[in-house]
Amino acid sequence: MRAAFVIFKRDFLTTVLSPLFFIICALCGFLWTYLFLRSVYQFEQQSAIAMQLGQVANLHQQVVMGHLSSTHIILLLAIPLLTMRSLAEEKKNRTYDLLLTSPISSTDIAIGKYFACFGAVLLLLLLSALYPLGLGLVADLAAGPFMTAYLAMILLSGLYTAVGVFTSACTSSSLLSGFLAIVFNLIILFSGQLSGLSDHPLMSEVLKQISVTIHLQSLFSGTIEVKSLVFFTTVIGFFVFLSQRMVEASRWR
Amino acid sequence: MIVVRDLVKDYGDRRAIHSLNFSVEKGEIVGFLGPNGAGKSTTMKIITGFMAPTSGEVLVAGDDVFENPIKVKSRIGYLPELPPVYGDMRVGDYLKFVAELKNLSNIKSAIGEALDKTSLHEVEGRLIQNLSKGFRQRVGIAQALLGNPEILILDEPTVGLDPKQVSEVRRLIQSLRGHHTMILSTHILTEVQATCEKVIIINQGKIVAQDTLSGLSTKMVKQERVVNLSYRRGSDLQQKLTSQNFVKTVVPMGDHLLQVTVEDSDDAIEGLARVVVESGAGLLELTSEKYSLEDIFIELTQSGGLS
Repeated sequence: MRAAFVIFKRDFLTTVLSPLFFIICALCGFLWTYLFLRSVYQFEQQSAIAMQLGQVANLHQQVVMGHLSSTHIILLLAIPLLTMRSLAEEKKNRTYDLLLTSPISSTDIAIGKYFACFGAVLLLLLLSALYPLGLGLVADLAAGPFMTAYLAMILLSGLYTAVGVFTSACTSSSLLSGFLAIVFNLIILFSGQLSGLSDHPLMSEVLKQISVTIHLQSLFSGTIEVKSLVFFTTVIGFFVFLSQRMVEASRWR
Repeated sequence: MIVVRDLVKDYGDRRAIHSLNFSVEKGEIVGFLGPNGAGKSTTMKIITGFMAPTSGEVLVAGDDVFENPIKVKSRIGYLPELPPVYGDMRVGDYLKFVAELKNLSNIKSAIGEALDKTSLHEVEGRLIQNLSKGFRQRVGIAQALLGNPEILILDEPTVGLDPKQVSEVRRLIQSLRGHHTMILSTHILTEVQATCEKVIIINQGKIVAQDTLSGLSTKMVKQERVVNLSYRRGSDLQQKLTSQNFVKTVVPMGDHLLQVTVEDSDDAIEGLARVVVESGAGLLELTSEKYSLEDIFIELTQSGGLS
């Protein structure tokens, strides 16, 4: 674990200090600012109408949830950009030789690499959380649902990061790794849609449960279910394990 | 210290190395010599645990590289073909990172020592991507030296260096003699002559010779010696020499230059000199060609290639 921390430290610093990370943050910030301000403006209009009808508009449902779904789409594309270089670049620059001939295990490499990327992704997520938090200063924001929603986002980003690190472990081309990660992420996101394809009740239930959508919905609605936590941690663990196997396998080719 | 037994490595259908067997004793400096693509780097990668052999085993100080990888790797300092450096790090930070990976106890002094040996102090604070190829190679060497590993495996350590740096690196390797067991690969023959005690010549994945430098030369000595003669005047020297019984052939190499093949004995050389001096040709130069490592190398790798 000590070696994993050494790798984490170096990788995290190089990732967050790289121009790529700044560009991603700037682009995401630009998109979020535009989308968030637009949804606040729409909420303002809708709440005026709702008040005339004697109803109360829901800030969490309309603004925070809208912000989260745009964050989700942005992260789906931004995380592969952050993770694509993780191991692919090492292979290309031949620094992989250094890692594989140092007295450290492939588990250390996989875990260090994963958490370095995850740390950078968390910073990006923190940037996205600034918008609703800022809104919370001037408006009455429900703290509970907000926190469970962000827990869901953290778990989801953790999953996308694990997928990205795995695809990066598979190839020495950053571009291919990023592209593969986006494809994998889309498959994970839409596998829930396939549940309707099967007539068999068991099969359909399995497909539903392995999709992130159903687990996200329960967390977004403010319910922390153990099965969702288990789902996310298992899938993350599975992909980190696969990355470790890929690192180990590179010795055998 | 290092024992390699029946090592085989296949890349798909292509067999890169065919059952290599050799051993390196503690404190020895072994030169790994061979033409491009002979399997030098592959062998080194297997010894360092970077890749696994198809079959066979490597023992480092009694431990199998693939059964005790961490123990073995902590004993080895390795410089791959291309220095494994991160362009976006500073030299000092990079060495610190490697020292931490190697889990060294006194990182600061280890880095200082490695910087001293490779004289890199002046570039310690610079980004590696801005350094010249030679400096990067030296950073790679410094990385391998960190923590004074018992075994140093250097894959073509002088590639990309200017002549001054080449001699510096050779001097560095000389100075490490006795402290480390070393394997260094190269296709530059003078490098082996300058630094190594033992040579393993490898061609097309097979060992074609392994011996000490002097052992190799004695093995390869033929029953004749080649002498180059340069003289001032006279045109009948060639006939005079041909008539001597110890002279085998005389080949004119140019104006007043002859290449004479004589029997391999000091008497023959002495006799040759006497004949030339007595003929009054005005001897300017008489040099006996030594059978160099280069000749051995070419002979071995060519005959290996034909078989």
